[in-house]
Amino acid sequence: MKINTKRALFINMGNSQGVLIHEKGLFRFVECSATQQTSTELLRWPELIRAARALGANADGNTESEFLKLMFDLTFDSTFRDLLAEDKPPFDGQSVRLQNPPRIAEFLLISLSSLSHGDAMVGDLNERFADECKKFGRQRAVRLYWARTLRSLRPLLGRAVSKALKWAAVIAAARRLTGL
Amino acid sequence: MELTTLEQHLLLAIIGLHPNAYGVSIQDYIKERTGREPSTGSIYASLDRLEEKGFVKSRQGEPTGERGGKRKLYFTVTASGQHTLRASLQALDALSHGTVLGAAI
Repeated sequence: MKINTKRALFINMGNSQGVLIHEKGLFRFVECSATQQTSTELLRWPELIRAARALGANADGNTESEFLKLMFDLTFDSTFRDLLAEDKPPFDGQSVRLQNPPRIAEFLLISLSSLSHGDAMVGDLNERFADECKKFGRQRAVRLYWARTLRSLRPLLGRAVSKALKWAAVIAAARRLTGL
Repeated sequence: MELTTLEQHLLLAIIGLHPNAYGVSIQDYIKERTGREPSTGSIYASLDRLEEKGFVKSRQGEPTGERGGKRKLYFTVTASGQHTLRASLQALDALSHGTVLGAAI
């Protein structure tokens, strides 16, 4: 397939590469592996997300393909959303590496906190991460993300332990009162 | 009810930032004024304690792209929180009064 680089965004997903093509307000995604290319139709953005699921399922028998993850990440990427809002050929042959924060760090934070707080905390770190990617580049931003995560673990662990001890004391008192 | 130093800082920051007090803004507010940046984990652990005691309440904001689709959590200080904070600051004031430090301040 011949690709007009003025309207194409080259995306490095780690294990494979893809090209997101913008034509007359619609999008086509082409995933390129060593042996084959798979491509969606020209679609509006929300429809492309749905097509991503089907493409992933057909290609690998696996609904959570790299393509699908890419689409979700791009949907929440503020730079990409700004480009969509401007409604003009956005890409001009640019190349981008998706700026995802470290997932293991996110998991650690969420597992040590309550549901709403964990989400908000990860969101705060993601906000800092996005800002630092622009200022310092991804590598330094990832190091800073990990540094903040590690600094946060001790107070979160302390809080989780004190809550657990409080519940243990409540249960022990209840048992003494009821004679169980 | 006793407040730790961080809890005092958090309550003051939330009052100062009202109604836009959320994790990042609170952290920046405290860092600008004290020179020290509390960790995100210590902020949320303390806010969790304060919320449990009824001194602050939270509400969810909208998710944004730069936050990876995660919602902000905005905090406000309750009347009980303001009362406890005032008592805590008055206690500090009473302690420093009559000392060399109290005269200097």
